[in-house]
Amino acid sequence: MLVLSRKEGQSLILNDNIEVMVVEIAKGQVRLGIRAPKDVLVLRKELTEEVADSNRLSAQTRDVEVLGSVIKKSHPEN
Amino acid sequence: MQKFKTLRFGLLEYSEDDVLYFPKGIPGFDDHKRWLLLGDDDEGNPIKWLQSLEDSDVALPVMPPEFIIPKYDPQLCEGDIKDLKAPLNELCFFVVVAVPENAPWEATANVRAPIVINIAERLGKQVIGQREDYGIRHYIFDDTTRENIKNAFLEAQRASGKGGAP
Repeated sequence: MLVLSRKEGQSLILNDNIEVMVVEIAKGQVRLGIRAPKDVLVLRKELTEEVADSNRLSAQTRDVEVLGSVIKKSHPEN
Repeated sequence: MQKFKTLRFGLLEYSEDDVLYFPKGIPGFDDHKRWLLLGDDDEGNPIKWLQSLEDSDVALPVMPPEFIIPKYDPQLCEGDIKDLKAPLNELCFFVVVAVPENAPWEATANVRAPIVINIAERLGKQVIGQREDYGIRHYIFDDTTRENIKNAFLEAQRASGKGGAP
């Protein structure tokens, strides 16, 4: 992995069209600003694993029939 | 027609045209590329199921996000939309539901990462949107509704349960 040092207000350029700026450094946390084309997906890495965990949990759901009837009652206009 | 025996729905008959193809699987089930979307058109019940065709035990409960957030806008990245080979307004959205055992009022949905389906092409993908205010565990019901459902549910349990309560 490439490791670079940057100060507040300084940036990196990736692939000509993506800018990553160090906006603020405080209390063990770095705030980053990202400027990228619209088709570039920017995600916190842990989010993908959270989605996978959440799906595994949903696959074990038992009480969905109850939920269906509850939704029917609470959305009578549907 | 092909037959597939499932844990939740018993024996299913389906044709190849019914199969939804998820080229990258669904996170947590990355090897599961082929799924069926199941659900009766029971009026008022929006819950449907994605049944995996790779593992008969795996089915995910899903529902349309509009039941939870009326003007649902997950802000998908354009690259993800391109993968689905149709403009945004032709795509069909579902969110994955989780219901804690014995507490349906606490049900949540993953509004951050909808399952997006191109029905015509039978193509699907779970896409993580960019909206920071959309949670992976977003309550399906608001505070008041949760309280009401909880009370009604517990009341019904008491009524049908032990008559000899103190």
